[in-house]
Amino acid sequence: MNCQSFENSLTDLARQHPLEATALADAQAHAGSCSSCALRLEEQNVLTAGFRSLVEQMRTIETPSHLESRLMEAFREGRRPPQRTQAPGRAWFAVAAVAAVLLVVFGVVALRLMWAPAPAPIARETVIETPVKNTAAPEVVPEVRPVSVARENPVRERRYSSRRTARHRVNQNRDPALEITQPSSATTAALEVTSEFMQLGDGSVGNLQEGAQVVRVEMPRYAMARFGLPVNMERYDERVKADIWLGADGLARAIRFVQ
Amino acid sequence: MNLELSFGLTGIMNDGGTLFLMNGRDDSSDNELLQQIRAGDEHAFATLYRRRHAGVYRFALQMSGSQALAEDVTQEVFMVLIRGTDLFDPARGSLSSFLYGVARNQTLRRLHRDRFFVPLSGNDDSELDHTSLSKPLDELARTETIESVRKAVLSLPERYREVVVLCELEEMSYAETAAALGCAIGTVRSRLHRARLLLTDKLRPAESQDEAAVKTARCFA
Repeated sequence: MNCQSFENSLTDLARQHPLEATALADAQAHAGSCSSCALRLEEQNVLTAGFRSLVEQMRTIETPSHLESRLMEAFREGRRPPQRTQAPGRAWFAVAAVAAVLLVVFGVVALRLMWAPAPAPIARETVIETPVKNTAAPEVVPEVRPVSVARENPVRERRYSSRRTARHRVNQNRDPALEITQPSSATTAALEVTSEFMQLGDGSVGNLQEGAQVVRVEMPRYAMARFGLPVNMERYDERVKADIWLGADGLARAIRFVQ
Repeated sequence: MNLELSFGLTGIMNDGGTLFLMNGRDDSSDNELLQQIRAGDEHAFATLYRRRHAGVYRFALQMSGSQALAEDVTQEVFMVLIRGTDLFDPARGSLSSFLYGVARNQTLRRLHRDRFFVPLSGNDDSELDHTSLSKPLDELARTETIESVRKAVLSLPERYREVVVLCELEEMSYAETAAALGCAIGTVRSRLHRARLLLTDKLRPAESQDEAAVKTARCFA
């Protein structure tokens, strides 16, 4: 046995903890041959003796008798702890947690309301001079639905505006779909591909100076077929944008499709 | 107050004047007593308290050196049993280990909470001072030795102190100590070994410490 092995069994030796016979014999032999380890063992034995004396002394110490009577009284009182008030701490924690959650919710709602854009007016623009193709068209005008194209879903717009950065918001204002509210913009014509105006019914197109208006609408794609335009039948039920030329009397005079 | 009654019965009267009758050799196991406590048996609680309170109190006292703290901790440990015995799982260890574990947690909590406070009287140590001027010199020397050991134990870091108190002063086995502290037996052994080395360093006379520092160099025999 070397000093390291002796060190490992030093505590058990000093505590007189049961050891294997061979390990005990080796340790005792090493202590006989190594004065340093023998000294360490002696110190540990003294410490063990000190512990024994302390244990003997502590056995004479008794618990105060009033402690038992207090506990027995607590036991009798329906197992209620005497003079213990721990509940308020947890209650305050719960209240604080609820308040924090409410604060966050109100903050998010307020931010969304603050960043939400104002609702856009329904797209309505003054007619620009456009050549009208005088084609034979059916008398029945397909179902039309005036919409504000870009503002059809204001909730979605608010969501975008709250998530995107200011730069995105600036770019959003340049979205071609929003350009219809700016009829004189040159970029609108550049970004939208339109067909020529096709006359509706037998009436004359009328004079543009008489207060005619062009209204942006959506209609089923299959309505394009009535004007002789090619229709992808796989997408026949989708809606397509169109501009309706309204005369001063409010009747539709011409139509063009927008892509 | 212990009373000897007729028919071989023993009675214990508490401060409130309530008399508890005992059959003199109540050898019910801890688990049996716990079941009776669950059923609201006051006598079972009193029996269990008398069986286990001394160890809990000594542990808290030796860990803290304060009788007031030890008293509070002992009360709190048994209040855990009064509130409900569901926390104790017999599969995880004995009730004794469980009670020591609760006592350990309560003691450490109190020590951490009170670490910024200094007792006004500063005589907390004197609570345990059993020195008497009338004792002979050898007894006085022995008492001083005990006192120095106690102070040395109190000066140990908590993780070493609790192992020394349980293994050496409460004479618990490594396994029981490990169950009470919630750690491995190997951890208990290594901490106890380290704690004993620290204690021998603390208890070594000052004049011989420098010399011993040289002597502790390892030999290669």
